[in-house]
Amino acid sequence: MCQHAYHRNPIFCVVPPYVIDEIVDKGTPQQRAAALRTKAVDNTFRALRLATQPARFSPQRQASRAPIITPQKRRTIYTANNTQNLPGTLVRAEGQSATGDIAVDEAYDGLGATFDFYEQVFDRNSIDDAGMPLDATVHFGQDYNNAFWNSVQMVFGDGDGQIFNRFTIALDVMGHELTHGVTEDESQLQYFNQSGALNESMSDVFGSLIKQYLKKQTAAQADWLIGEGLLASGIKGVALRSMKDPGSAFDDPLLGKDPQPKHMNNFVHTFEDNGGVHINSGIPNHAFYRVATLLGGNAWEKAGRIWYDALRDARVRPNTGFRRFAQVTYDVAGRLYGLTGLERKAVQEGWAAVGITV
Amino acid sequence: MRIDFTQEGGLGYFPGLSKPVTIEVDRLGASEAEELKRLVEASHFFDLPATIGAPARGAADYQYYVLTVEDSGRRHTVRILIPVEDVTLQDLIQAVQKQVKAARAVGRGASPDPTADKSP
Repeated sequence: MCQHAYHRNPIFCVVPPYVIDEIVDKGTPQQRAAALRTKAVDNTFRALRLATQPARFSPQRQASRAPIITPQKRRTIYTANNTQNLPGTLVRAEGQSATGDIAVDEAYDGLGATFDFYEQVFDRNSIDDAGMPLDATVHFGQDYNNAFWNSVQMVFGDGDGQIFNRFTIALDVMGHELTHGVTEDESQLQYFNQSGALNESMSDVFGSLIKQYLKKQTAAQADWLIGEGLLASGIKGVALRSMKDPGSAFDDPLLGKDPQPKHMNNFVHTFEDNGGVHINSGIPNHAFYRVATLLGGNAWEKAGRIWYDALRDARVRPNTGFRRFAQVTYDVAGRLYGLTGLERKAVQEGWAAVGITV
Repeated sequence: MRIDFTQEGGLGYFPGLSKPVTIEVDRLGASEAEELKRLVEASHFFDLPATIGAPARGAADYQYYVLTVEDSGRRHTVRILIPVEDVTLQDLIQAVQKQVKAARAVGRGASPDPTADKSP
């Protein structure tokens, strides 16, 4: 324990996180409060540090990270109390029991399910494969109809109840947001035009797999919808997007019609939505759906593995578009399962179905 | 005074929600019109930069509010990244969004606002 006289609190020294967690769990109320404050300060400084770093995921930095022996979840849930202040007030730390606030508890469980998926299926230790803590703020804004990833944490609105329900209601949405962190860690796919649509598609693919994994669904059993349950009753739609049938998720007087294409022939050229990143993601989404259903079984086992290894392939760079990524998946399938295997053929057929030849 | 409001970005793209909504401030109720005008003034809207806030590298699904105010021959558009840090701007956006919500409800066939512009 630190002996410096000028510290008000002996915890503010080089104390390992698992010791702080123990204090949160077993300390006196005063000790718990101090430990929780320490965790909040740590997160704030980490966010500030990250915001001023130009090249966060350079190879040199990755090599210098000390190895973590056992992957361990470190979740912290905050509430913004309907303001736009981030991260807000800490309400649930790792290991603490349910609070009764449904958004808080759904975020906690959703972050946990996402961590477990990446760890169990891909042996990945959190978003950056180095034990990155998982932070989320709920009750952001007033009637805020969105959820987003701000590069270091997730942020969830409550929805206005008329167009959207609360954004923690959909596990695939939470998986989608955290996967943006994975994509940034592995490939830094630029968030506009085709590379941005590919970035978006990664989040939909793995978000969907996280949901399927938790529900123990095969590719045939899955609904392949993103954000099912998010649209308020009264809205004519079933989800934000459909991977099975892009363009069919909603058709509502207020929302308009789902604009997603499912084939390169219908690629949308627009200046809106960062060059249509949420629109054209329908094309690679549908390719994945095709590959997964062609192969059958659990989609995360082969199709998911191919996509994951492709995301991590050195040939996938910040400006990579659909065609190059498709080629990488085709090569990865051959590497993993053999040049004459069904898997490689399924990948070829999946991409052909959306108008891309590998 | 006339205010155009739209939002860019977000978790999904919805064509209907991407269309700007126009608020004719002078056709609103007196207290609502006054409040909007006060907030436009208090936020020094016409002196604000064209874009406020920038997303961090690796951020995704973030949104911008896009506000255009036209008043007495002046016209200015500001894109504001969420989270909005300035408190007066937050209040202005909230007041605008209240009117936007009402305008969208009328569009869906709810009881029309008697002070709304009825010209085609």
